[in-house]
Amino acid sequence: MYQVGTAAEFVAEHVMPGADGPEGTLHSHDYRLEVVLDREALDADGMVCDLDVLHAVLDKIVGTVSGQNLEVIRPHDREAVTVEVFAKWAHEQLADGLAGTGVDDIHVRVYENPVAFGGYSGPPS
Amino acid sequence: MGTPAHRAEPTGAGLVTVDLVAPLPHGGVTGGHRYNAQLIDAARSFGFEIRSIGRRVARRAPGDVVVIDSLSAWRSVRWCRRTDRPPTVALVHQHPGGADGGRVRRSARRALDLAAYRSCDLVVVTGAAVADDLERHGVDPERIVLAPPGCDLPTPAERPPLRGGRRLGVLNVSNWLPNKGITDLLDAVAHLPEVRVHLVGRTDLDSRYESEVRRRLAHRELANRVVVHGAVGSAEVAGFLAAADVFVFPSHNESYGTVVAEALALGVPVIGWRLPHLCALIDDGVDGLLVPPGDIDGLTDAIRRVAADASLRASLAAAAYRRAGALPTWCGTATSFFGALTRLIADPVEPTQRRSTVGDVDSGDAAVVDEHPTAE
Repeated sequence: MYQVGTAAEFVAEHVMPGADGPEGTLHSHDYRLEVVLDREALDADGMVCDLDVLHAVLDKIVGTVSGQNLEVIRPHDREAVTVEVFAKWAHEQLADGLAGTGVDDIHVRVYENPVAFGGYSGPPS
Repeated sequence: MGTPAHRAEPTGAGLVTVDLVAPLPHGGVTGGHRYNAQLIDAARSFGFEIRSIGRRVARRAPGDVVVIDSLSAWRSVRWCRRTDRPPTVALVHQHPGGADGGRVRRSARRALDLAAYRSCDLVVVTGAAVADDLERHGVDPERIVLAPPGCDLPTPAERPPLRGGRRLGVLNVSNWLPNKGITDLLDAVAHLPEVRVHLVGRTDLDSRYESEVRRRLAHRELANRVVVHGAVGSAEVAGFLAAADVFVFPSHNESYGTVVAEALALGVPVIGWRLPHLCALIDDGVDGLLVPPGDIDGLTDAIRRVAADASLRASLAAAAYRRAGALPTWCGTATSFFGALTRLIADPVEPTQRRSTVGDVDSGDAAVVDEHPTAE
């Protein structure tokens, strides 16, 4: 399986209702959003996905959340935007933005500190 | 010194070959597909041959000129920036970013589309509103050519009046997509029992939107008053237009609105939102009625006025027919398009003068206007 990927770093705020200490109040994190795309067979240009396209899509995703309270992306059925919920949302946005590119799978990892992450993987549709 | 510019040479048959990069219609024919088909049919009489090479252009294009349809622009940025490519032309049928998909897709593709257009040697645009948009976002106005679609139609197929025993026969011709405003039309006529509505266009391109439309069609107020015809050919579209009293087109986002011009050509007045694409074709109160975008009550009132006032209907229809006399025909469209290609071939842009071979995909100009505020 071929792969291509990229990442973006930004600051955003969230809250974990009911949590002790600072996590229970609105606070900010330095987030890192990593994306890896899988493709069984390369396209006619020898690529998994044109990086111009991937960067343009990731740029719009980061533009939605950078400097924002992550409540703006919280699903109705979730109490908080955990890194897992964040990764699922980013996967949905990537799937929309990369429609028609031919990628087979999209892997997302969201870090809110240098080592710990939440992730979501799946096909684009 | 840069790479020498490509110079297109006529083939042995004396024809300049054009590689058209565009997705296939997949049964859902749009104004853009119809436009491309008209150019393909007319090409030989202008000394060109157009060959469709698929929805994307890879490392090689065998023709003398490459024409990239706006539906393929987002995936062609890398090609447009190549210094060793043949002359490359964008053929822009829609606003950058298009109308499909979610906000991230439209916003990302808007940035990519604009990056591609800035790198093309020539940008042929089908509507003035889009030309203005491109110019505002860094596309060299010297490279933009406006070539609106023709309004001439085949001989209309025979069809009885669409009003079918009611006072007013309303027609809409659109594929069922959120930006087309089909639900707005149904909401507007829900309390106008004097009106019968005919919907022509493909219904199954967006399942969520189709569900919204069908939910409205199930309302008691609309029972037996809305006829869904699906996609039909050009002669049948002409037949529907010829049998209509008024063409209601509450689309939120068009480059031009080919079918609006076709309605005028058959003397059918048009009602829709006061947006740039309709303002370019309709003189409010003269050959149609324009309503503030999203004002459903206003749309209802406009349709009710036309239904209730036969003399207004007649004067709008006469003015519509007169207005169409000043609109382009497909022959004029092809003359503009192939004339622009001929000038480009005679005087190609040097690779060193391709303005946007520098710079990345520009995210700063990528804000997507909320083209359909009522859909989200």
